[in-house]
Amino acid sequence: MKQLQTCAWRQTMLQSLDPASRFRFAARRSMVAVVVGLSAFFAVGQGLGADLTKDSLRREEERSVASFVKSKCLSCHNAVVPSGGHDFGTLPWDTQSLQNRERWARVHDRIALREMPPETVSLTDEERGAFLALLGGALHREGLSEIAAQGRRSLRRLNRSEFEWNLRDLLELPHLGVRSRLPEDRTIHGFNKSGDALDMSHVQLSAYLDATKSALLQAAAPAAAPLASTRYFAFATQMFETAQTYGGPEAMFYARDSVMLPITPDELEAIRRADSHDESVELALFRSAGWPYYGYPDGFLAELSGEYRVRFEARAVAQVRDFRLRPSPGPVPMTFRARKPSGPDVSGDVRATGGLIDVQPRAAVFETTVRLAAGETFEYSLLGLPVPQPNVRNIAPTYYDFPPMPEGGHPGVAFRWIEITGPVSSSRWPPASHRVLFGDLPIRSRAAKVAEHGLQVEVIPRDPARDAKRLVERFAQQAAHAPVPDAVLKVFQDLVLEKLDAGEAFGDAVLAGYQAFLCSGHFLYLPEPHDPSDHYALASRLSHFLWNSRPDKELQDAARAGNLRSAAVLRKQTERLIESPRFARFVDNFLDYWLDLKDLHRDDPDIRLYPEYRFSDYLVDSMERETKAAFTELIQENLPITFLIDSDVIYVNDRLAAHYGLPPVVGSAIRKTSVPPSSPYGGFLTQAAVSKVTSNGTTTSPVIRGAWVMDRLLGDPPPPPPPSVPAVEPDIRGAKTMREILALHSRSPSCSGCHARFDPIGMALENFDVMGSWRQYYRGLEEGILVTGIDRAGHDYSYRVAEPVDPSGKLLDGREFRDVHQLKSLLIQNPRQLARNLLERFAVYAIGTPVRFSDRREIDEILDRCAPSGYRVRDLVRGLILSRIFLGPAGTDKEERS
Amino acid sequence: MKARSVCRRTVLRGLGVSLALPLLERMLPATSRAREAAQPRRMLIISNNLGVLPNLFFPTGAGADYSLSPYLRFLEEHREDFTVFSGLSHPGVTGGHSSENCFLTAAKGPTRSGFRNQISLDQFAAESVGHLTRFPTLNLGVNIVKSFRSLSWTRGGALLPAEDSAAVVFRKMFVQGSREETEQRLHELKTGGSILDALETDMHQFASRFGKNDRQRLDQYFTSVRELEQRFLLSGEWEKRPKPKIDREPPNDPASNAEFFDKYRLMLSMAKLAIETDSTRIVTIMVDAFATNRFELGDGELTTDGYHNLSHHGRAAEKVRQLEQADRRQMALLREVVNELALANDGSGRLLDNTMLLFGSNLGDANTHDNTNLPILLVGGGFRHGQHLAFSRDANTPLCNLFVSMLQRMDVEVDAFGSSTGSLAGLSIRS
Repeated sequence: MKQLQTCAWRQTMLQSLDPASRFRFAARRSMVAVVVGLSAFFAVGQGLGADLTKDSLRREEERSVASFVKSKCLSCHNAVVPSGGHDFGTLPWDTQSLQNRERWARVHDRIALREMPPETVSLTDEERGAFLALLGGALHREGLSEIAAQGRRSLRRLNRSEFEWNLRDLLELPHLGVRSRLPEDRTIHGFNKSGDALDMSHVQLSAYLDATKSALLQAAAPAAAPLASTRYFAFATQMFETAQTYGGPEAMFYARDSVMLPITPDELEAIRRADSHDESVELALFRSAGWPYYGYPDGFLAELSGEYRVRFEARAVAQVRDFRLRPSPGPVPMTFRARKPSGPDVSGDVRATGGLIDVQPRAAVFETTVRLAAGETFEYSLLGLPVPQPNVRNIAPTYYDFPPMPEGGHPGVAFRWIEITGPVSSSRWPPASHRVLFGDLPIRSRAAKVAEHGLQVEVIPRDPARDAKRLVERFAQQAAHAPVPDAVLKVFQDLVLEKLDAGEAFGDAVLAGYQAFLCSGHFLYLPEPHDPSDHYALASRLSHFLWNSRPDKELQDAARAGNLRSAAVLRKQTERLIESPRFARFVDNFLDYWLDLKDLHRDDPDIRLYPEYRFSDYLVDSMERETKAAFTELIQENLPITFLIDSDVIYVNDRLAAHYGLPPVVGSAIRKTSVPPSSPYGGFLTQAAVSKVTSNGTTTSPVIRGAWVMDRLLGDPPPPPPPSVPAVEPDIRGAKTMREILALHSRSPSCSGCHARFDPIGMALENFDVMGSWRQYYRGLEEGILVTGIDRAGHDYSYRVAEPVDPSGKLLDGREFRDVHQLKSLLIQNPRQLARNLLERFAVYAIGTPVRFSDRREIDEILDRCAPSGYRVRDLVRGLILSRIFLGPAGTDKEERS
Repeated sequence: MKARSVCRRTVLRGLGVSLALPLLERMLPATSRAREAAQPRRMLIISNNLGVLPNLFFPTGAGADYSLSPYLRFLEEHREDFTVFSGLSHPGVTGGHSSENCFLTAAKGPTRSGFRNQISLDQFAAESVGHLTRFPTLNLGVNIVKSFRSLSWTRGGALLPAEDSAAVVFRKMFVQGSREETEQRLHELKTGGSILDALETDMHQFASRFGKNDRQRLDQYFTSVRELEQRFLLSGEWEKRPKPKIDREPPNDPASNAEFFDKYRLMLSMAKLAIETDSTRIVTIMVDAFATNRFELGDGELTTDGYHNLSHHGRAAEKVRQLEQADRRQMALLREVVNELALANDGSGRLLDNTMLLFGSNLGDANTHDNTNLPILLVGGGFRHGQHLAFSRDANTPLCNLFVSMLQRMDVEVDAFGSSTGSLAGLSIRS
């Protein structure tokens, strides 16, 4: 009975996994068997192929399968006794249906894994091998032949990130923002790239109409002449709106000769009125931006949206006793935050702009460019410094505490002056984006008043109808993913002509045509490069894979020349795309999904337990940059796959080095540095970002972490928890430590089957707290040794150091480990598994559908080729791109493949 | 197929947006015209995707003589205005939390590969009565993750995002644009209409390049064009009608998702306003407890865990206590909205009697991911209430049977929806 139940679960679990996971799940132990099975088939297939027609081969297979099922399976899996919920009566031998083949693939894998048939059924190794060869061979052949005939059904629309990047590249508007106008895309198979998830609804279509219109209007010239640029200049006594800020003088003061210069609000007002600023005065800041805070350059507001050039003189300082300044021992990083000015209680949209600037101890002039919307200003955002917090006491008013002075003083920045010039106009007018729309047609200011969000200039055609037709053709050919035939052009040209006839202004009429085109299939949908002569679809697949956007001119030219299927050309383009700055878009989008970086900011650390992480934005941002830097290097430097698990180098900045307990480094920039052998860091497994996305901010769970690592890094996803199994209600009353809770898992046989796979890995990672810092003890609020202090915001804290972490464990295969160091050394012993996982994820990401049974052979071929050099990751990308999985059944041009 | 579509386009183009409403009505089937004269019926559907503690929700005893459970005591004064159900669920809708998107669709096997959702109850009803109001439906959410959770799904199985901001809902319903804005909007709708014409023509050419499989995917596109065309046409009509006036300040959204119950209450009040002003007759609210991190329980208490973690309480007393407190606050909010609907009058009687308020969840017991024995409560709508309709806990009755009863009460001529096997036995209209 017990056995039956476990069996039922396994069945449910296999059914409920998506095909890719199922394959990985099954593949874990079965690879050898599968490969043997396949090669056996190919021996058979070659012999039979010439003599038998496909039909007779199929009939032959059907007979063999039926006879095997009848003698080995049917007595337990029939309509009366559907053991494990499976009845072979409902599984016809219909190899034409993908769904059906996937079910037979599961049968294949269960037999290959020797999970079936049970020992009570006699099955010799030869019989097993022969049947697997037959079954695997048929599934492989039918899978390939379906793809050859119909493709993989991977036609899909652009996801919203691709849509935005396509528009940015097409319209030459690198900072265009239309993403938020579109509904978020669903994810299937782990990414936002699958046609199955990229639905189209009237809501979606309506959002596309809205977003394209907005984009086109942003591309058009905002005025007939370049916008007037203004210059704003402020001395220190104009650089902050007020005379003081929350947290008192410890958080901010004005200084002269490195000593506080007390200025009352009235005095400040008087200085500003008289314009009698003292050039030697500095504004010294010691807090990060964040509520409550409203320090902006006094009287500055961007009247127009655009880029503004910012120059300022500043130095990094340390505040020592009695409000005196010393040069800081190292740089202090800062950025700017664009926002609408507001009082202390209101926060709205705030976004960092201008990049990171490390202010140095020696005074210097810094220069950057910030992007502001009309009506915005910006605040100074010193990174990683305290934010004063209100302490509501019994007596009013609210009190804002600042933390005690650290050794060496409070780090901060002293500013002397700031200059803001802008908006920066294009040197050529109208700007490039406008010329994408209207070429060199002259423009002038519109006579009639236009809506705020309408076209602000009048475009003057020479011959309205001819110009309209010409412009629509030109724009459509640029925007489409493949050359647009005349019949298609005519639809959009007619739309514009119709509007011209109705008396619409030329510019508006043409934009309506563009808007329609950008919502059409020619822009919105990415077809599969199925037809060997379709080099455009291939170019788009390549660029949307590696750039998350459309092909650039060089790649388009290669498609037009029709030689993109030449392996040499394809290789060259692949390398070029990987080396390009646009490759960062791949890194960002891939990591958002593969490692859940999009959720990195989801949970704030619980400051009751982790007071040191109060206001940890700089730390979290640094984690994200670390993971991206490491992944970029993993591919660009073609590092071996084991880098995912362990490495003797690490990518850190000042904050991360401190976080990881490494020797200090100076500055905010992420750089490569070596890891001492004693450190548990190095490799993605122990990156802070990974520890953070797998915790909830308060506690870590070995179950969640373990399962996540198994899935994302090892490609062996645990099945989801059994759906609505009413029998087992885990009773965790009285369970205290994680290990005790998990012991319940292993005591219940229905739990242990799966939990034994991933709980141990999670246990080894228990040494990493919710933010990925090393710990040897858990923290608690009630039991343990009391620790008290004052945190970075000046708040008292107390928590308790509780039970020690026991990171030891045993993998499912019996190999034991003492801690994460030993776990790493076990995990890197199977680089092929790591490589297979990443390769398959690249494949799903690139083609939008999971790899199938019939792809297994090609996946293994790629892995075989990459094996001798240790499965280097750029090689995996190259291998995928040159494969038929990526290129479609035609592959590369024949003459070059041989 | 093609002829029909050209014909329709011609009709639409000919009518343009100058189409007068009576003419529009003439285009509609006779039955729906008859309906407009009939008593307006409404539905307000609320689903909390983590459900409630079942032992405190389900009553003891069945029929009219049942004893109120601790949670149902919140509605004691409305005892004759609601029915509590047990033994209802969606057959084949398993997979724990994955069932949340199927609460109003009953699409089976949400965790299976190749799963495709289907039309939800509200959208199904809107196809019949949606054009009668400014908004065919309002899909609202509390703390909802819009990208993958919704109660509302199209026929093609595409998610219709829910609105999480009460301020946005309010603006949509009551803030009148200027005359210029109206004209601008009508012009935009006209442009939109010609763009959609072009897109449909073009898409026929585009689709012809593809094989059968890919063309199926493009069907969604064609459906979208047609649906949007319809909506543009109707929007044009509504654009010309003034929005209702209301004596109330626009709401401010609570700043944080931790203010869960404040958001919940505010969204319920938006739903009530929408119904009262006949802005729509169909409102859904998905309470995304799953996505709710630690939240305020009241009296300054913050939960120790996120809602989801709490729901897997493992019988730990402290977690159960917090969950119960949250459930009770939710029941108190329901009582508030029922009170208000009972006090309001829509001209023909109590608003409550023409409004079906359905509260429920896709989870029977979140602790064990149980998708059976769902907690379901139906208030108002003119049914004969005051009873506990107890179906078998071992062999549940399809929840869709209740949906069919509700659709029929909305005057939608239908005898099947989703996995229904009929209308719900034991639920009848009050005479």
